Amino acid sequence: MNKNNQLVKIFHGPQHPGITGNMSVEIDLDGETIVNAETHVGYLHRGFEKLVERRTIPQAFTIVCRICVPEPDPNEENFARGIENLAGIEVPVKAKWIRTMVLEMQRMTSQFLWMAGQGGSLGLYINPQWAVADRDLMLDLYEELTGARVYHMYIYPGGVRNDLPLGFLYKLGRLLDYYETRLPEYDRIFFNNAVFKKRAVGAGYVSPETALKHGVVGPVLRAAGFKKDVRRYAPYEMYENLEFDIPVATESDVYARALIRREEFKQSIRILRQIIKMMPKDGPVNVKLKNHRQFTIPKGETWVRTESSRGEFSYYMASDGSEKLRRMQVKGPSMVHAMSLLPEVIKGGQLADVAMIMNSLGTCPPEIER
Amino acid sequence: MSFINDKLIPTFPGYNITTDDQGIHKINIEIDNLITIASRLHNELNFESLQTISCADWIEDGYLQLNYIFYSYEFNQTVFVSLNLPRELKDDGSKRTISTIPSLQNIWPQANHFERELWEMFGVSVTGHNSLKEFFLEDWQQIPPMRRDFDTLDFVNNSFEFRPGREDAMDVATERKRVREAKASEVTKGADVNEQK
Amino acid sequence: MNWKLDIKGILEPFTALKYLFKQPATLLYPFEKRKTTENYRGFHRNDQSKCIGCGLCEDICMNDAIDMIKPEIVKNAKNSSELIPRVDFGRCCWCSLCTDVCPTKSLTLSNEYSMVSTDPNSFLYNIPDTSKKEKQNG
Ligand code: SF4
Ligand code: SF4
Repeated sequence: MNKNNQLVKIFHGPQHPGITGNMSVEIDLDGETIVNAETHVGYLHRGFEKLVERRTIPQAFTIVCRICVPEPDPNEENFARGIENLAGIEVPVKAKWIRTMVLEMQRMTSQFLWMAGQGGSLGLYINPQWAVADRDLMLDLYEELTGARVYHMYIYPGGVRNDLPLGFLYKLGRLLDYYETRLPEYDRIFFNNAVFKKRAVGAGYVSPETALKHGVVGPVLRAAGFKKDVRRYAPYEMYENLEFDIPVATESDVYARALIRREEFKQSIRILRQIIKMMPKDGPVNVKLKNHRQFTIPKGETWVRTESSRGEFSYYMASDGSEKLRRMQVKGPSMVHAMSLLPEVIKGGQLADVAMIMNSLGTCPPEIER
Repeated sequence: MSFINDKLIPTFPGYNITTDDQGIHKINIEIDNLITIASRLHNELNFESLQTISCADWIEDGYLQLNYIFYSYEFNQTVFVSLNLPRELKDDGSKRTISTIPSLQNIWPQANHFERELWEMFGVSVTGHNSLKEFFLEDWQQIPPMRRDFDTLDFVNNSFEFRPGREDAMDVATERKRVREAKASEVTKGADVNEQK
Repeated sequence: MNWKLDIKGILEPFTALKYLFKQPATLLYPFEKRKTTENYRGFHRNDQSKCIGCGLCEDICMNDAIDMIKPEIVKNAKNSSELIPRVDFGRCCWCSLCTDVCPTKSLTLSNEYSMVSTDPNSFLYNIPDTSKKEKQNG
């Protein structure tokens, strides 16, 4: 409270270094304690959903990856799978394996980004430097596979765009070996760091009831004690044939979520190793689509889901029998995490913890606004 | 299959329930039943989570189709509760629909944001909602932008200027015709020359 | 808040100091350049001796980045409209749909990607012709 016994109102963001993208949290402060909070978005609305309605399918495919900046591939996969459901396209087996591999690689790159952000929000700046450098090695592989580093535009309705380059799986295996040696280093500087533990244990508690009621997804839900993962309960692509564990915790604070993400990173390595072994040697990787003006989809609707590193992305798609989609609605994890969960979680907390909690919930405005 | 026979049909007798080949159950309802159905799904069948509220504008049939997408972790089942909302706007300049939907924010807090988005993007009127205000757009004067009759190209042409320098672009079809005619006339000319020889 | 002294947790982060004595992970940029991979999606190239002027690339580009313009000389006698594509890099997103759709595969993406200019109009890019070079070599 200030001199006149009033609450102080501040805007945390959109130009705050601790914020995860272009959004702002309007906070009422009593001293350092948060009394009331509300999230505001609207700095990044690009109208992708409307644009998709105006474009033919191949044309629309180039913008869906831009819906989420750190994780383009789950979006591409969702879009492709939705179109395949609607149009009744059967995808070749090898394409499915490659897609699974790309998705799992994507989960690893975005775990690195999360690690960078989480460290940055605590002032532990060694984390961003290491994590971004290590992520870059994965981006190099992406560059080789897809021709681009961040927006790959690789998973395409009907398959993937090109076959694996020569020696790709070998390089991927080498990179996984390297990541495995790096993980103990991260343990030392970050996960076992006494300062991080002191800050994170007990901060940002999400009770199991809140988690269920708000429809929370991903690591936040798993940290609250629910063993739920789309890859397990609604398996897509090749996840049925792969072995992996789903980590759970019950503490449901920032630290528990950090450990869950660390464990998921290890599971990603495990999954990728299986994929390297099981990847079919040859076979087609895509089916040829018709010319984009003649590629019409029968009327129908579908709902597809993909597990990204922050939780479930789900797309509702409706087609009207023309070559364009009637509607594509995107729901990412942040819609819930940032809009309705975050204000509730930070209430009663400290101003200095806002950035850390925000990062730990995995909020990301681009997918709220599309 | 058993889920629909064991649970859905006994709970909601008399409703039109369908299942498509992706395993999505769909209950078609009227607007008035929405609150009852939603709260019974939540309380009796344990559909803990409202995933999203999707909306598609079927302009030729004159309605907005709202799909309330529920997911149950217990049964691992997805249920669409689907209703058709007439898409006519009020004529008092508010640019919102005549028919209204009730808000579900008391059962699921995140419904608040889904409904706020529908209100802004499709102009759906919502009753019992505590924060119907600007969400993504700022000072929006036109009709709600996600409605099919809003033309984005028109909007862009009216509000932005294009950078000059690209006027020399040519239309392929007309050029192709021109080239073909030119070639044809050359050929006939050549033929004439040959004949004269 | 009860908190036990965590000596290991305090000391261990300092092991990162050993990286002071290792090779840097970065490149000395202007002197050392990164090698881009073979199929990187960079600037466009067009082999004008193969381009048939069909305009399919213009049709599929959803950003309206491609204009069909009149070249100084038509290099391919089979060019049905006597036009060639030009790209506006202010609009292009390097999706490479245009190269996928090109029936003669005359349009390709090279692995060059840096372009610095103070003049925005220079982003209207006349696609370099690859057929010329071959002739000069030959
Ligand atoms: S699609 Fe290829 S052949 Fe056709 S106009 Fe474009 S570059 Fe030329
Ligand atoms: S790469 Fe994509 S955006 Fe660029 S000119 Fe080709 S089709 Fe258009």
